[in-house]
Amino acid sequence: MHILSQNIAAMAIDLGISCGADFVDIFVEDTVTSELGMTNSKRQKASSQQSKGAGIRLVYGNEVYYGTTNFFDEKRILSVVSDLAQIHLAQAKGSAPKTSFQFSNSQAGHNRNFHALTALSVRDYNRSPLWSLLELFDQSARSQSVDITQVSASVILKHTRIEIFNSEGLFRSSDRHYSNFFGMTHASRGGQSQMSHARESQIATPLWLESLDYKQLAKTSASSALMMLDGKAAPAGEMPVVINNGFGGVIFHEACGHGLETTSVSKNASVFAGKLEQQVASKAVTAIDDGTLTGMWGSLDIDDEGMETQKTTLIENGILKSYLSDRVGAQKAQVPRTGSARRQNYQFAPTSRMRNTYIAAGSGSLNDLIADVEDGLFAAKLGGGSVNPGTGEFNFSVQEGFLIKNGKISHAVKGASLIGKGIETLNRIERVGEDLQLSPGTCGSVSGAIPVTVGQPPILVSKMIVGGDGK
Amino acid sequence: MTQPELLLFIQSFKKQFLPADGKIEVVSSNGQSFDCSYSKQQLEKLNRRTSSSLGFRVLFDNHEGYASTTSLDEGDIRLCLKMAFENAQMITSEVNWSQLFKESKILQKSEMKSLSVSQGQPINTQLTIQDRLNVAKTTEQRILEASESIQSVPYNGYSESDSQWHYLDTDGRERQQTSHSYTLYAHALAQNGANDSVMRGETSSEFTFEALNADFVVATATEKVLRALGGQTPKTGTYTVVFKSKALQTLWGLFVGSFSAQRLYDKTSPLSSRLHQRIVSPLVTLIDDPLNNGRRAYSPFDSEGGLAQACVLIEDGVFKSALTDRKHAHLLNIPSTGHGQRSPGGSIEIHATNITMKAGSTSFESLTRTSGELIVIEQFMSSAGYNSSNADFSLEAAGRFYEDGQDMYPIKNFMVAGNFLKLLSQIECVGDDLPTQTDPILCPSIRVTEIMVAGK
Repeated sequence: MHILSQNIAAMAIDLGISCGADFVDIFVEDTVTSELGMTNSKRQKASSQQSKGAGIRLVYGNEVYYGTTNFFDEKRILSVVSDLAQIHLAQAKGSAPKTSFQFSNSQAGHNRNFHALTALSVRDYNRSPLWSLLELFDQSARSQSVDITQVSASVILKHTRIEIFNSEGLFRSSDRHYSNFFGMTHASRGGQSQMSHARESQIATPLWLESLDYKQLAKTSASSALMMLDGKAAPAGEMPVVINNGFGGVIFHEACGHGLETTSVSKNASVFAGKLEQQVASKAVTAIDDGTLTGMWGSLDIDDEGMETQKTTLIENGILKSYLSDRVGAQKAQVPRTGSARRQNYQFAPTSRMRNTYIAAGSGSLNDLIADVEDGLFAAKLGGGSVNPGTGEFNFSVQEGFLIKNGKISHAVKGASLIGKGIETLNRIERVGEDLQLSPGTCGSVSGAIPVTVGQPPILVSKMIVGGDGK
Repeated sequence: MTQPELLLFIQSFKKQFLPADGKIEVVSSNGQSFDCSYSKQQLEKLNRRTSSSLGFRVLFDNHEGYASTTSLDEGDIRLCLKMAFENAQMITSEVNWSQLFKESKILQKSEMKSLSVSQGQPINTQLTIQDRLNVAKTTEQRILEASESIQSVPYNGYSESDSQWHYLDTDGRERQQTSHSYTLYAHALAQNGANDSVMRGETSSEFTFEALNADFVVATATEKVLRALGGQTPKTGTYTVVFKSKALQTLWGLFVGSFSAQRLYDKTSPLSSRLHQRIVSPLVTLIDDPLNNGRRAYSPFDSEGGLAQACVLIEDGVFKSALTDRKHAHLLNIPSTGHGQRSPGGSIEIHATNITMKAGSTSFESLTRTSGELIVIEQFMSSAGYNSSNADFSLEAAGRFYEDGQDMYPIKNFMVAGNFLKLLSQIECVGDDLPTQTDPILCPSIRVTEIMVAGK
């Protein structure tokens, strides 16, 4: 059964086109989310949310008019269209086309079948077994040391069913299952406190959460908080930095990825605008944004405009090869669409966003890279960051850092952050190691907060500014 | 479902499934918003959104559960309450709600049953959509025309929102808040040669359309971005630093969650076990005032049906009071301040409201009048690099470099690192420049010694 009747969708699209719009689409969503959380070794939180709504977009040239409603009846859906058309000062011409849809369920017909049609949804899942897994995380983390003063753990299960209709006759639907575990460990000793987190996220049904190794996740999280408790203040100033694999890839996400989205490229608000086929990074860098990786947190069978996602090579041996584009962004920047249109939910119009973005593997182990550094920083685990695509200036925090002395790890350091400029930093990547890992994250931008993956092998950047309190 | 029907429904559900001293709370919201932005004088996007949602909270014995829906269909609402009840059955909280309801004065039946407040004014019906579009368009145009160095205004626009928030519980208590807000913003990108580009901006947020100050946004965004061109990266070292009001506002914004009674109880706040102790310089007094209707975090009642109270958080450097919801006031045995807030889809969390740091008596000119080198931090570029467990920070900043009291040149691409509590303990003097805006956090500028700056 469809969320929005095809007849109503067709009437709304016909009305928009008859009012002069060049393109009309409707994004319909029905999402069920459930969250369980523990703190203080107690079951503290159980919540459920249902979110239903539709976002309707009228495109006139490069102008985007977007409206939303929580209701799916004919009157309200059509009134969103007529309101937007009136704002454009367009009047219905009366000779409406008759849109007919070519239905294609995105889960059939190709091999990107992320979830079987019979997949167990959060709508039907018995959540009770998850409590004992959260308790296992809690107890395992606390058992690491008496200095572990607080542990919290939560799971979020989400099932989104979407339907996309557009004025080219496209009608696609998709079921998206998201499963997420998040744990936080606090350690305190002698007036000093530190925290560390553990996260596992996958495009998967809730059963996947039952397969995780909660003991190991707890041990890793607790060890990190305890290690930072013993850390010395991070140094300050310019130095070489080895950035670890996995979430270390947030450096590429911030330093470059956002600047390649046509959202900023198309209005010349990116340092990468106009640089296709130019050298923008060291030759060691090949970077990819791939929406097709099975199970990865940023994967999609179709993007939020109904286009099948793809593997997009962004940079090849330092040469800029492609931007990331949605329909309007591609039109404005005059580049091909890449299946990168994304949004948090129906409340947001889609824009070009990253999916699973990573630097491809090179050669050499982590130890090889560290051995190349006389005095520098090893950023073992990174936190969040941000970028200004217009200037290319980016920053991010280091959650777990170590000083490198004479090519070897010396001691743990805390309170470090890293800053740099996109193209400058990409050109300072001297070495790219061999051990590629991907890691889930949440990216916030103009079309809301979306699940993404970042990744890279270990890399060596010859010079970055490290901000710490070490005198 | 009308409000009286909803009340009857939850009362009936309570009678059927909950103990007599259990409780059901409903928070609902309806909102409409409009926003638009321009790119080189072409309309880039126009959004007109409507939203509605409703969320239940079920409380009985030591059980607490939540569920929400954006569908106002009666069947979905009934299913939603059932989910909240099922969720509650899974929870084993430290608090016995039935006991708490008996003890808590805030829930006495004598309390005012119905309260309704509003903030801001609905838009003048004579104003057309075109009037709103023109405000955004002319703001962008004026900035673009201000200087050849300004390449574009990548982030700009006008937005307005109307929201109605409603609270209802099985005791028949009702609360309603209506809010109207209007915002005009512009962030300009200026360039001087291939390697010198900066982006700076300004925002005007008001409760009426007429109060929006486009002249202020244009003049300030333009001045800021042009003054920042030619910025240099300072040398790494320890400096005396003046944190301008806007920059200090960012640090307070990162820190105020530390006053949450939940984080004190969970021992995840740097202020845990420090209530009534001196924590910073005697020059610091900090107040949270949810009752100030002239500021954006006006919240005269919380999402638990309680009335909110103004609190002195820090008085002359001493940590005086924490912000509480009902549960954590009970657990910590401290007064309830009515700061438990939630959206229909969320669970109760403690949030600071309108925060004000008391002004000092030193003029800004006097703050910068020192011998030798001094750095003025005008703004932080991001909040990534703050550790909420201990208040350590390492943040990218931008500002001005001073020598012997003279403003020499702009500085950028550097970081300021330290610990916020330590920073507040090292305050030399507090400025008299407390802004008079609608922002939830307002503070004067301060001068602090021995701050680590990471640059070249």
